[in-house]
Amino acid sequence: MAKAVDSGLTVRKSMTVPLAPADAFRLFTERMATWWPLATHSVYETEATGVVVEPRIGGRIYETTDDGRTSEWGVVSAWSPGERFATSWHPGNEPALATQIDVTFSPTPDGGTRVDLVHTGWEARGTEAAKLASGYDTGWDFVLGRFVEAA
Amino acid sequence: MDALGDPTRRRIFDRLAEGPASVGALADGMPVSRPAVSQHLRVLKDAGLVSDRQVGTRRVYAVDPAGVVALREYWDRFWSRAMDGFRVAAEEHASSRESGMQIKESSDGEGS
Repeated sequence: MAKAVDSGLTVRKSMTVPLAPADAFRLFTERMATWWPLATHSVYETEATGVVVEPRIGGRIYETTDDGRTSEWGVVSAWSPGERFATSWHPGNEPALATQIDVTFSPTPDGGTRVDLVHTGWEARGTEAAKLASGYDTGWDFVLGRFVEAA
Repeated sequence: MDALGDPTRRRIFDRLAEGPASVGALADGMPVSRPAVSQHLRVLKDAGLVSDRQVGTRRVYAVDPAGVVALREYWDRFWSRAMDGFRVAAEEHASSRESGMQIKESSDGEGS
């Protein structure tokens, strides 16, 4: 029973992509801005133009704008090119409210890569669940706490 | 307080997932003080993951399924959207590299 509820605090996403693990890893980390839905999933929304992942343990992940603003999303906690990438995750929030992302890249027999993303640690996240459950907006604004500023 | 996946808080939540419990009962099974357990419970309650009610003289805590489900659904949508973007980019990258190789091969063949 405990295990079932515990898995309720974990989100997993898996997919297979037609790139070798090394290439999939590079696309995921080095060129995040080319695929991440920045307009909706960022602190600066449509003004956000870049995402930087500093390629080392302790490196920062942050979004950038053309006029030089940055906003940190997390700090890299595992860095194995072509195999695994993990980071704390607190876009729009203080680091103390970080959750955790773990992404693994595994070769498939046909030369592609299976990508497994696991997101855990939500029990750290403030009042989100209560507000989600009571029917507040469930967009990205919510995660960023922008609705608080607007209120 | 180490909020990043705090192991004690995770243990408290896991314990409550097995069934409702009072602060005293929770503290008995943990290597931390009752006030520390209360503090963790406050964070979990603020997060909407745990609810409490008065039973006689005791306050009993339990997992709040609505909060857990809401948060899970939220993050599920969030990562579906983000990872769809990654898949599309990976497929485009793969197909453009294939056509790039074909172009290179044919131009090599035409050369010299």
